[in-house]
Amino acid sequence: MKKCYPKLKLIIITVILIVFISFSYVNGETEIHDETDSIYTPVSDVIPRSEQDTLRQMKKILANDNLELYLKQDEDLFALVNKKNKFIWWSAPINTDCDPTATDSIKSGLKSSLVISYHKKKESVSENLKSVVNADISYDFGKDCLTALYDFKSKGIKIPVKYSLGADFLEVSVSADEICESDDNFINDLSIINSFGAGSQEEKGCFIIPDGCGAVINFNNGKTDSAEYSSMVYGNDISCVPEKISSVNSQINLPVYAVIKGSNAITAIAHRGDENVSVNAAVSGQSKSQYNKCFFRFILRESDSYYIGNEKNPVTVFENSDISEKNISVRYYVLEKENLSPCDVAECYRNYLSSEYGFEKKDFSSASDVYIDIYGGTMKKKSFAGIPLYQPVSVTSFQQAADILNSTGAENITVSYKNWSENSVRGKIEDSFLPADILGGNSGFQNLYENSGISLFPEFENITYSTGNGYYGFSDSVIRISGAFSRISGYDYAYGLKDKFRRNLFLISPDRLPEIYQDIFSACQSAGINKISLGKSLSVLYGNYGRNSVSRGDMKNYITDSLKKCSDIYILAEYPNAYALPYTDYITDVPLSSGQYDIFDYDIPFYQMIIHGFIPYSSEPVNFSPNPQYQLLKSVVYGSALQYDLIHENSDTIKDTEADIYFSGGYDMIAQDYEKTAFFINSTKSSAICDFKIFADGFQTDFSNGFSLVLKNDEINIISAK
Amino acid sequence: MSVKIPAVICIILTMLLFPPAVYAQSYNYDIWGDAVPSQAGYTAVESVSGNSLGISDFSSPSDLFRTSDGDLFIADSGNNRIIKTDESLSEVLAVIDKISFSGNISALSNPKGIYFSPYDSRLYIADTDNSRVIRCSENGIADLIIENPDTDENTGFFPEKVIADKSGCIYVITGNTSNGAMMFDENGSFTGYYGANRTEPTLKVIKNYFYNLFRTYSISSSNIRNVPSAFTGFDIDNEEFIFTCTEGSATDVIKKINSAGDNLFYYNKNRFGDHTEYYDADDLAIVDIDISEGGYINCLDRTSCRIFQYDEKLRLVSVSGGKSEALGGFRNVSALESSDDFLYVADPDKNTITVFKISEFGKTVHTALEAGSTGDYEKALPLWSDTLKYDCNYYIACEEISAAMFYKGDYHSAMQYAKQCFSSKLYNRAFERYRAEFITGHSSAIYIPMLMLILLSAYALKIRKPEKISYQMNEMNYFQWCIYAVKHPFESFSDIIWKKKTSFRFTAAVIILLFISEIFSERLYGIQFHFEYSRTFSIIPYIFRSAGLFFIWTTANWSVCCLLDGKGTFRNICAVSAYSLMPYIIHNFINVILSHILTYDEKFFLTVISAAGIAWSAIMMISALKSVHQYTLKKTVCSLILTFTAMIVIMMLIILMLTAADRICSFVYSLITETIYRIKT
Repeated sequence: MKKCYPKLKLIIITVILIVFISFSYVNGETEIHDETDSIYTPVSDVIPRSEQDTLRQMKKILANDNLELYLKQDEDLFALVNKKNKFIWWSAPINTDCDPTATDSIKSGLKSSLVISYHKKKESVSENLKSVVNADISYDFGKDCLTALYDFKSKGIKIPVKYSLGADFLEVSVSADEICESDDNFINDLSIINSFGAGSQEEKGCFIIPDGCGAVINFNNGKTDSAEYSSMVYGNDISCVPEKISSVNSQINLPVYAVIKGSNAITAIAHRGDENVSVNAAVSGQSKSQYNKCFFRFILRESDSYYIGNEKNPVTVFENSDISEKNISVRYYVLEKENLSPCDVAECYRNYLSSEYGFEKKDFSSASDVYIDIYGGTMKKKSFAGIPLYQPVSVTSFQQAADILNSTGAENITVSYKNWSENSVRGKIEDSFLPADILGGNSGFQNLYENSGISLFPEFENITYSTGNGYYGFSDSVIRISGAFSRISGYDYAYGLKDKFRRNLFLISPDRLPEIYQDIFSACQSAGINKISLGKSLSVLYGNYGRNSVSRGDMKNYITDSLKKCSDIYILAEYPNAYALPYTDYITDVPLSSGQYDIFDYDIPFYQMIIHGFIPYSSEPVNFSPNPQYQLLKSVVYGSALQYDLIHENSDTIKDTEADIYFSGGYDMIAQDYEKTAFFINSTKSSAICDFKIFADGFQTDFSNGFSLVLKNDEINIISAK
Repeated sequence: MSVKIPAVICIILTMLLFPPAVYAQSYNYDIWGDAVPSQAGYTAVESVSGNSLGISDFSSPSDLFRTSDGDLFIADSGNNRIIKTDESLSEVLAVIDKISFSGNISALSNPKGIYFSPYDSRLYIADTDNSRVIRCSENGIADLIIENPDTDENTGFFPEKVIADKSGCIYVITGNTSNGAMMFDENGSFTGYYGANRTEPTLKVIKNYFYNLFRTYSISSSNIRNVPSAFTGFDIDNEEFIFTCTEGSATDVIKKINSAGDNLFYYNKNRFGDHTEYYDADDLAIVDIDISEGGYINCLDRTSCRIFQYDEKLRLVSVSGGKSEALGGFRNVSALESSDDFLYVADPDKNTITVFKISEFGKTVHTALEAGSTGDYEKALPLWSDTLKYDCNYYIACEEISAAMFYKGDYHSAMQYAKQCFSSKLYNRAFERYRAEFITGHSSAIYIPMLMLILLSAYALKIRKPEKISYQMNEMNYFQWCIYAVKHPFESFSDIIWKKKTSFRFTAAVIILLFISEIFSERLYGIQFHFEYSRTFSIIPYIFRSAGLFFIWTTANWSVCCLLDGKGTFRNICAVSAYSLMPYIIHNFINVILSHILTYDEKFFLTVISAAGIAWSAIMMISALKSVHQYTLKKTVCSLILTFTAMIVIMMLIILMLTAADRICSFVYSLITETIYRIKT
């Protein structure tokens, strides 16, 4: 590195020179800034240019009935024009150089249509490359598409990016096969036109981020002291078990974000490569830039960290294998409408799901108003003849469950039974149909299953496991990028550190999933069960980085392929990821809030907007909220059915077990809650959400059947538009 | 130029993007001291920045004060101003950045402390960088400025926190004195220091003290002086008690000081903040304390960025906050303020004030606690039952239900709930009444059998025949020999050895009895005496305490006495030791039975029985060893001392062996893991 340093510097200075000379006629003088020095540019003398002037200097390269794509070759700048109202969406802000606060590094980041980071072989150092300064760009004008070739010569990396137009969208894609890497340099992540739709300080608008239930970031919200937003779609890879657990447990389950500027909006959807993408957002004033921007960053190689000895700082390792992701593609759907609301974005995404994945309205005839999760049994250290051993204990037996459910007073209850079988109680992989004896055995289960008014979904989660039932820790578990076995640990509630007193579990390798699903489906069919819950398993993605390497994308395919095959079984899942939505018949645990990151301005029920009226769903459990009455009302106004997590035993039994989070399982107010809200749920549950409004003291959801639910002063009101 | 980011920076960046922070699940500590998931007492509702108030952003806000009207004062130190906002933090009512004092106008400089006295409606400002304390009206017209107080120390005056009491007395915490808070009268003259912390008896301090005994004055005076830590924050409650908190202290974390300067929490054994020994975490650093109107003690910990709320009895009511980049989380914390239903926390890094609102759960707990403290148990009881439904781990609810049941006169239920929350104190109180009730209710059923028992035993004593030991000895069984040995500790052992009543089988039986008695005395003891049971019953420690110790004892004694010409064989040593243990074993059983009859106040009886049992066993043991080895008393004592030494050596060897075995096991385990891993990848 040291050797080629002068050479590198020379090349980069030359590139900067070229860029600056191109502006010198405005600037009057040529200034060269070394990027590493991060010196603030003094108040700039650059005169802002107008949109129309800039567009006039550009070349039209692609067009269809709705859209036109323009290119300015010298700046690598694209413009997407909506033909109907002539609104222009820029790939990068056109007046970046007028930004008085931005450093040159930030400016080049804003201007670059391709930003990548790479690492050298066997090194844990990551470097950024920006197309404007580091790459030679050449264009190939095809008939239907434009291919821009970004050649990072000094690093031996070549990336061709295709730009093409669909009926109402711009698609930007990269095929992994066409990426050229040198033997030494590996790309970690890349983001294409990451300033697309960026909003300046003067503009009004917002971003919609699907974090948790969904959140809105307003342009220029002044939250400059807060951290920038970045979150992996479908959550972080859980095989990289962190030493300390994250404080915010929200997740993005939809590979989508939106930029809304008045009556125009862009819905950006990660069309391909959605399993390895993060959503990032920053507002004006953060990182010294005056622009608000939101973008996807595709992770091509995962990283992991581990500790050596007593070192305080972990060592980072990157995946060194080939890029597992085959295709990367982002679609930018152009929307324009008077009073454009997040619901229009949601509708756009739902239409995308229908056309691409066959997402359609589910059967609502048996949709319940009350969903209850019941926790069966777990392993607990108990004394056997004076020797402490892990033994299965019953937390809620089938009979106790029936008693609890009968006392609720609700007519049609959907019940998801966790840890109900011999294997799942013991934490093993459950691929057969064996109700646990300590809970009442097969007869107990059948009694509960046939109980009228209860629609029972035994849960098969099968993510973490302990050795047994044909699945062994050493042969079937996931290996981390760092090379160790992935041991899923509990965390101490106070310190967030790994709990030393809990059993560590293995993580099942994704390539075993098709077999497990197959076994489950056939076991259920022979037992006459046509309803199962898959728990959280549809909301996690991870890879196996051992010898038989499996990527997150592979796991996604294993799951969707398996689900496709079992159309005759009803599937219930907890807050599933986007790819599982077409196959899920019931959804539980849809969050009622986002991660509430500092940068967010307010929450919106974005996930709910997409699924409401299409899939029956329930909210997060009412009884585990510290504000159960408010949670109940909020959940109803967010269009959800009621959800409760219940157990029979008390604190003595659940202490020091995995079930200890069910500390509020003795809740007994369901009958009252149901009576209070049943009318509101029933009058809205099968119609779509068509608007959502926030007031100073409450909020309102409008439904497509003309009803609106309003939450104000801890009270729900229903308004009929008819 | 490409920017090279070393891995460390990369991680720091990731930490900023994915906040490190702490688990989002709210928690509380259970009776065992373990963190268990729990309902949140407060939920964050809003994060207020200068921008959202319509003024320039805060810069390192370092103190907050909420007036009784609900207005909030913010010491925006970095911007050299004091901000007054309305109750909902939506509107700025005043900004004070300069004060006028007898016609002179001067600007504030880094004001770190703010207090508003409800008695004289004056604002007290610790104007730190100007080295002065200001008393002024809300519009900035000062009537008192304290500068350069007349103290013995000439270290400068850097006031950081200020409060005033009803009489106008001003208390000031400065950053550079450890004598406690500085106290000024209402005219601003220095009157002394108040409530200094103790010097902590750490090992280093003790070591220094010891060395100083032998040092010359010049050396010892040049040594570092052991000074107590200075207060980091304080607050005054409605009854004029001053509560202080100290960062980095082990002894005086939270103090409640009366007007005489005495700490009312002196004897408190509670541990504050997060406390799990198993984790290598940073020390607690309570930086601010605030007493809310209901008397709750809210403490702000900088290490975890959490607010710990304690009730008047110092029980942990709720934990809120944490480190994160989201609402309700902090990067750093500097000040805390509270009202009945709200908590306000300043973050000097994010430059925000976060508002927490009490949750429905928290409100139930507060209402119940307040009802309980006024004696309204009828109101409190259903609220506590609700609390347990929402959070079955909430042990305060059990304690309070037990107390409520006690006052209702339902002593049996009170005992049950006290048992559930392992409160010996509450159990004892209820048990005492329950026993009295039981005895009065069943007097005939108790007194008649007791009387009969006494009469019978008196009769039995009277008709007892004189002992004819020498004739009977041949026919005596082991049980009778035991009684004989216990009755005649000095002469019996030579007979026992002579009659060869020393089988291993008998020894084994006694050890089993000892083992059972140990388990009984640990697990079946009356709750009124016993504080806690280990959670999962395991016989291994009991095996060690009975058989293990016995074996080590006999082995040690045998090996020592072999060298000291002892005549005892191993079998004899075992047997006579077993005989000697009888009083100890019997006392264990008697105590277990009595512990269910006696109350804690009658513990004296148990102590006497214990002392008698142990002493008797000890006397028998000495006598037994004397007989078995045919030693003089002096030699016996010597051999005993050596035996104890040998026991320690043996135990150390055992520990060494176990450690080595553990190492080997883990080595073999990792070898297997590694091999399988290599095969797999």
